[in-house]
Amino acid sequence: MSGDRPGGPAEEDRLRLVPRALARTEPGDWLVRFAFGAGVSGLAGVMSTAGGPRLGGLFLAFPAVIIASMTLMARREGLRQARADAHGAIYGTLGMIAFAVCAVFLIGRLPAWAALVAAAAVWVVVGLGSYLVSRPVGRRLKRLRNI
Amino acid sequence: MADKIVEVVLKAFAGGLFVLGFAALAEMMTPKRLAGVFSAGPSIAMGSLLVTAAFMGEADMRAAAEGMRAGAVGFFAFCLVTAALLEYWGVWRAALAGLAGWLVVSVPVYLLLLP
Repeated sequence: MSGDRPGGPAEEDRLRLVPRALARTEPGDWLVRFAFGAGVSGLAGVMSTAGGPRLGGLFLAFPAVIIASMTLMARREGLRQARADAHGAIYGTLGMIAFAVCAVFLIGRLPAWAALVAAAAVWVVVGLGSYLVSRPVGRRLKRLRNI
Repeated sequence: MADKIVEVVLKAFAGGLFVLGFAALAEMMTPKRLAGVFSAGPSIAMGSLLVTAAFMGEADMRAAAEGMRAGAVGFFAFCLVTAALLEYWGVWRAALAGLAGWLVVSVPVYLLLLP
């Protein structure tokens, strides 16, 4: 666990789950995130009522929540970390595209809850999977650039 | 009309709760790039689609997911633009440029995917 393997991730780049990090988040930040999430969901609901469910669905992928996340992160940890947040979200959106495609295919074929669970699993596989694949590829590219 | 209002309020509440769940996961994760994956999780979609299924049925739920495909492609464009500009323009200007990217990409894809 200590030290860096040649070609492996730097200590700061190691994947970790740190539950106590939740305690460092200010209560106001949770409120902001809830408000953004509720706001976008409400907007999608209003658009759905006004223009039909397909139009409302467009706004289910409106990037309001990540804007909240980036601004909170920029304020707390600086622009570099906010940029890392946005970079990571690129992989999340690949998963989101897969989620939506999977949901379209499965809704009607499976019970609604099962279709959503399966689509969420696809998001995990594609989103997290593409991120995990990008790590060694990115390190290799960085080493090639430094030659 | 009243049931439409209840539906929208429930979608808002469900969306907010799911966002908090994904945000909590993101806060616990390092590095920040991994946390960013969860910033683009289908948190709003999951809450909203569940409420849509309960109120309007699976046909509307499926239609919403169809629309979401275009929005998700636009979201991908948003992230590319914002990640490229953030360190030079700051968060808000980069996010505005990203939103323009979302609009420019998601609307044509939406129109293209219309049945």
